[in-house]
Amino acid sequence: MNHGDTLLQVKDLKTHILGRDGLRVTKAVDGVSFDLKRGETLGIIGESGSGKTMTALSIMRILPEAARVISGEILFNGENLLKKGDAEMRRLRGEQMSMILQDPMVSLDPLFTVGSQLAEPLKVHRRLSGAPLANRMTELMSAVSIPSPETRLKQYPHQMSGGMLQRIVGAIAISCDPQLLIADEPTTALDPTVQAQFLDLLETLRDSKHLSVIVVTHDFGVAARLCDRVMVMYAGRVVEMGPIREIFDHPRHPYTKALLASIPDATELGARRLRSIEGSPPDLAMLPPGCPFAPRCPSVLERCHREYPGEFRIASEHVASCWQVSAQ
Amino acid sequence: MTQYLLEADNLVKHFPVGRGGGFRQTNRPMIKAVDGVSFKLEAGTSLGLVGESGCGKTTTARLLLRLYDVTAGSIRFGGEEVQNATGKPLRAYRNQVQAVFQDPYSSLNPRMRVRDIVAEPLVAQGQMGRKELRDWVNELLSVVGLDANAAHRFPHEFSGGQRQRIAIARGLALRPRLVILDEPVSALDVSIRAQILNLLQDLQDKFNLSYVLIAHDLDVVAHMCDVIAVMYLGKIVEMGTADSISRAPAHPYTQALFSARLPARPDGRAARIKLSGEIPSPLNPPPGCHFHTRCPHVMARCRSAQPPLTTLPDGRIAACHLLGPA
Amino acid sequence: MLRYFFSRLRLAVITILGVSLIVFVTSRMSGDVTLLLLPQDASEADIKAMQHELGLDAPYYVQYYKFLRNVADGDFGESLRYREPAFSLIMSRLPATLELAFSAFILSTIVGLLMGIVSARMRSSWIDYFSRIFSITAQSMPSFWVGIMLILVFAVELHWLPTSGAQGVEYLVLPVVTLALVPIASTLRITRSAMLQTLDADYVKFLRVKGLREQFIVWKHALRNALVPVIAISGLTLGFLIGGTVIVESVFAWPGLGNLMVESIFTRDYPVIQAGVLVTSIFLIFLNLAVDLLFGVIDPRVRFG
Repeated sequence: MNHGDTLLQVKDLKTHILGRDGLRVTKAVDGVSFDLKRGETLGIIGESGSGKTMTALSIMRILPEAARVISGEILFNGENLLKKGDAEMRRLRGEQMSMILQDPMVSLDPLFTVGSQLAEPLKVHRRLSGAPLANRMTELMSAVSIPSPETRLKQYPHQMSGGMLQRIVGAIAISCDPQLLIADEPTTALDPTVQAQFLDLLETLRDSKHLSVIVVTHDFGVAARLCDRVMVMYAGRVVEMGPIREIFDHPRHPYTKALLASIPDATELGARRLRSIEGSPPDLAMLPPGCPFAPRCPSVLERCHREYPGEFRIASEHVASCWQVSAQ
Repeated sequence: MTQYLLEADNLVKHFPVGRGGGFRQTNRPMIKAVDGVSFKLEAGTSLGLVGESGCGKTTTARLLLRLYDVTAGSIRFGGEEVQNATGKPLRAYRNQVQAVFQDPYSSLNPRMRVRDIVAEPLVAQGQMGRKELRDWVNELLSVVGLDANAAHRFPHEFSGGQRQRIAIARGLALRPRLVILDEPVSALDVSIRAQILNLLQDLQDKFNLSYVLIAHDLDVVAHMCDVIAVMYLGKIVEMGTADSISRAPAHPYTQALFSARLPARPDGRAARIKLSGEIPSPLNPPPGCHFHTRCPHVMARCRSAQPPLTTLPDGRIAACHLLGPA
Repeated sequence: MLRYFFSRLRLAVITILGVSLIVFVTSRMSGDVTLLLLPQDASEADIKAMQHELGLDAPYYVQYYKFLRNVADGDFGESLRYREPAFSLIMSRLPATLELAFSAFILSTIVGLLMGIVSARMRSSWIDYFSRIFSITAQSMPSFWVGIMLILVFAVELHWLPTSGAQGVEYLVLPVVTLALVPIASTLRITRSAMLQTLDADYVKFLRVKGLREQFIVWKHALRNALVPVIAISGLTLGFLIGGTVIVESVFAWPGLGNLMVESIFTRDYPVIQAGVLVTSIFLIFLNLAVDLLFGVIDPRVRFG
């Protein structure tokens, strides 16, 4: 089935976390909508608590127990994932959609060899065994440039470096040739040169396997390196979304602007002080009415405290949710 | 001659590894975590230590904090040798050298009120009266940008950035002259980092503090520091002004490290120097130049002879056969 | 793995030597044996002669060396009460105790593991609450009281099971249940918390990403990880069980080592007490060695550490 250019469509997704007492509700994701085209790389940028990871987990439907998707639609190849049964969802996971987690050191079961963990999805989804399985595994290990794969497959996670483990996690994630790959802070735990190597690998895999990729990150640098488009989240909502160059060259939301201005840059020394954003991110269980960024916003209007701004279109693909933008 | 606040001379720290089983300790393998590191730091300036895991930057910081004993080498602080100090001189040194660590969640005792956390080093010292103590704690809290009523609250009532402010206030309580900053912002949210970096700079100006900053984020280090030392497998491979190192790195490793920085802009996807292979084990570093196994410019000489640190025309030092006298 | 084995073995030997030293020293500290053996009006010369005969006048290191040699030959001296070698007395009672302890160990491991897993999987359900109340209750009831209650209900009132003795499998049920109650509770608690922690781990999240069945994740990956701490305490559990038999054997008149030890303590039968302590210690040390090896089998980080 072909659903045109769009692989994934998320419409007004709300994922809330219920507190133990049942009273405290954290609006982790609060009305998020976006599309992902085939072959496209979308960056979801946000701080901790922005809802970026919860959005990713909602798509994969592997939310923690206390979290629930309250409303919305997640269309994957035109089919609503939220309507699928557990068994059906399991068949999609690992086969058509996959994910890389933040810390490779804890992404693999320490008691099993990496080989047996690489074999699992191939056995389950592809029903491979014997020589075809072994061949496929070696092939995958070389796809993520791991030297002497036969030896490595017999080793345990603790015998390898973080960079190597993350490449193995990558190999597992792409083992069944998925259409969608979500990478949640894939390089945050890695050293700089290893991080650069892994981002290269991700790019190569994306281009050679025609993957659509969602990169979840707090780092504009990672987005600048990999993404075609980015979506900036704050307090469970999308505050700005647009092509990567648009966002960097003409950010419109005050949060995006402030974040970009607050990042130090080794190539532009001399500016002694960084522009900082005062205050800290809000408590998602006690969101004020209106725009959640209003208390920290340098250009706040009276209206911002009362009403949440809708989405305003700036260019064909560039949108922002801000009353300032609407006023201009 | 310049009077340096801190002078580290040929610092060496070896760790024995493996369960030797107890009896024969002599022939156990050694990790040369820090292997001949020297630098000088003037009062009121900052030194950045950069390098990847296993390069020895954290061990160096712990040697400076006297959390580890040096295997060899000396640390001079205000002209006094302190690497073997014990008793009163050691306490005096420790009062003047404080640390701020990465994780503001685990470095504060959750059962103590903020005022007690901040006052703890002073109470331990026991030289201040109650009133004087309270005033100083309040002043410290206001210096790091916290409300006076923060004093009565517990750490869990604060966000990550505020907790790091509390940790900084505690670090300043004894009016130190040197503060070791070990990844002070990497656990913080992006929107908070600039606040803390600005605060650290303000405090440096106000109290004439010296910093030794460890961070994996090269942009943060370049922004904060006057001098950067790049370490690889226990040795400094290049050291110079932040400006010279970040604009024109000379050592092939520094070049690779800085070229691996994430681009500041989407069109900044610059040509990157790709390193092959992984960082070798510090247990068994390669002979010759430790970096030769990954160096794109490796020559025959690099595999056998260790290049000495030599001074380049612009004043920086680097250890590479390409840069040294022919 | 071999290096790991030898390092553990060496530790075990050192521990055995330590225990033997403690047994030796305490037996010398508990008074002069000659005074017990001789009549009260024995002369100084008689005492000296007796001490010489028993080798008690030699230097301590010589005595200890002899003691070790005798122990190695299984010679702990004669029981003062039964007039037969203490060692063979111990060995004749040991199997009954081991039967009790191992049955309780198997029961507590199986029941504790199952309840722990179910409790963790169905967190905050009524099963979970029941398990938690059960484990607190079980750990706070003294075993002699539990034993008597079980006898009252199942033997005296219901006549389902015999009150005491050891003439068949049905005689095993009540003492084993009594003995296993506390270790069931501790195994349950450890399994539950280990399981909760494991199910929360990132690698379990990644197993879900791979599209594996939840049952497979729980029973293959999570259980094996949760087993690590359970195995780690199983050495302690066994020690607890073997020590616990002393009381349970008395309550159920079980003809095991525990009963013999209690008798020997009351009658000051030192050779038997010494032999009993040393034999059970050595036994436990080897059990712990086996546990350590099992640990190495299940956790590669230990094996290759």
